[in-house]
Amino acid sequence: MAAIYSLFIINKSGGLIFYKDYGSTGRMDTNDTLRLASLWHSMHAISQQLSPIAGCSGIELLEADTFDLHCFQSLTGTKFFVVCEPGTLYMDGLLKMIYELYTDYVLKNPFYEMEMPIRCELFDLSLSQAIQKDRVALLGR
Amino acid sequence: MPVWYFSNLTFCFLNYPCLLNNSTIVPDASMTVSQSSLVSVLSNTLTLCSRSQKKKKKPLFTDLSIWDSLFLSDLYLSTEHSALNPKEEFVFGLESKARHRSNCVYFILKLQHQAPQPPLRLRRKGEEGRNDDRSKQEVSLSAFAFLFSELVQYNQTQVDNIAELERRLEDAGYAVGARVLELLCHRDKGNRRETRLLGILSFVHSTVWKVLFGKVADSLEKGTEHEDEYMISEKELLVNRFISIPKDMGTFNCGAFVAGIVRGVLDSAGFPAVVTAHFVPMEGQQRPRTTILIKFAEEVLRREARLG
Repeated sequence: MAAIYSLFIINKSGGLIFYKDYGSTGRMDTNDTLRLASLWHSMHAISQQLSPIAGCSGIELLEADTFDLHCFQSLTGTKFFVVCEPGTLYMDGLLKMIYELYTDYVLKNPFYEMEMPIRCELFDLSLSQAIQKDRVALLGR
Repeated sequence: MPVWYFSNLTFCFLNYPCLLNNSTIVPDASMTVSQSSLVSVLSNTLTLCSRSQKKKKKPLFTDLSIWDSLFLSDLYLSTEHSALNPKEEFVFGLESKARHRSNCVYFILKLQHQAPQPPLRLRRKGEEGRNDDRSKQEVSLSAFAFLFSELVQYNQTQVDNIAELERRLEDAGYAVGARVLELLCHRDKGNRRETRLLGILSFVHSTVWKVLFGKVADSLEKGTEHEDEYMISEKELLVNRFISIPKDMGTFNCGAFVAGIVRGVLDSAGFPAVVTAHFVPMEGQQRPRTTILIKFAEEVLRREARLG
């Protein structure tokens, strides 16, 4: 019913710093994920210019036939977006929680360099716990 | 005969700072005093006011008697005239011979032939409570985590290898430990000093941990292989809460900071030891436990055996 396909985190210059694949279909290789991330970054930026209303902060939701894409941009320009099944609820809350995990386990880690790919064991651990919990809640099992 | 006033008597040895009030002393005009006569003069005529004026005044010698014989035998008398007022001030101190231990007692007696100065104002009960409230205020964990992360990052830029980084973190912790011991002895233990091994270990395990991390340590164990090894275990050290060590750093543990704190406390209390922090993998748990390993120096064990 409700499932997350993948999670992307991109830095403020559009480079992919984290990618996690949860779905079984549509697996991409590394190059494709990098391309997708920078593509999304550009689209996000263009949409801010295209908007008829001033003060637009970019695309928050992209709805397609076979997937939904929810995007959250922090004040620092780091973007978290998740590709999920159409009609999935509570993705905004999930994205905010992932942002919190990012600030906790990535930014407070002295061995993490800013804007570099995330290689923090604790972040992976807590992220999978959060997604698992959410999956259980969303699937109602 | 001049009456000598202790206008400003500061009795402080490293672990127990006390402020003393005015006291008058029946003059012993002889300036050449032997160590034993000095001690007896002081003990007979001087009373030690502890923190609150309401508390019972204890004679000094009782406090001296809590020192074990080892320390007392190391005392010698050194006299030197103060350069400022050669006629009016007579400064002498009892110093521990073992300077490296830096446990020293200073009696700085400014003996003046004048009227005594107004007494030093000791903190009364109410004000003490207020200070305690301030000291128990909590700090945001995130603020500490960022500060600690910056400490680690700064030290990383200064060193070439991991062993030196660990040593630097330990040294930073050592400074904290020495100060924490002073503060806690004064605040929580009523200026009593631990002389036994188990006493100081349980002090570290409960009081120090409670003040620093908000909870007592998970466990305190004695090493099975060696007599001089003890271990304080913790499921996860507070300083390591948000830190993931990269694979290429091997066995490095930011808990070296906490190991340094423990070493600072033990060293300043007179129990020199080598303290290290280790990750201990546990079956069934994803995250390893942290163990602070304390290895005491030879002299500590010998003293402990002598004390019985």
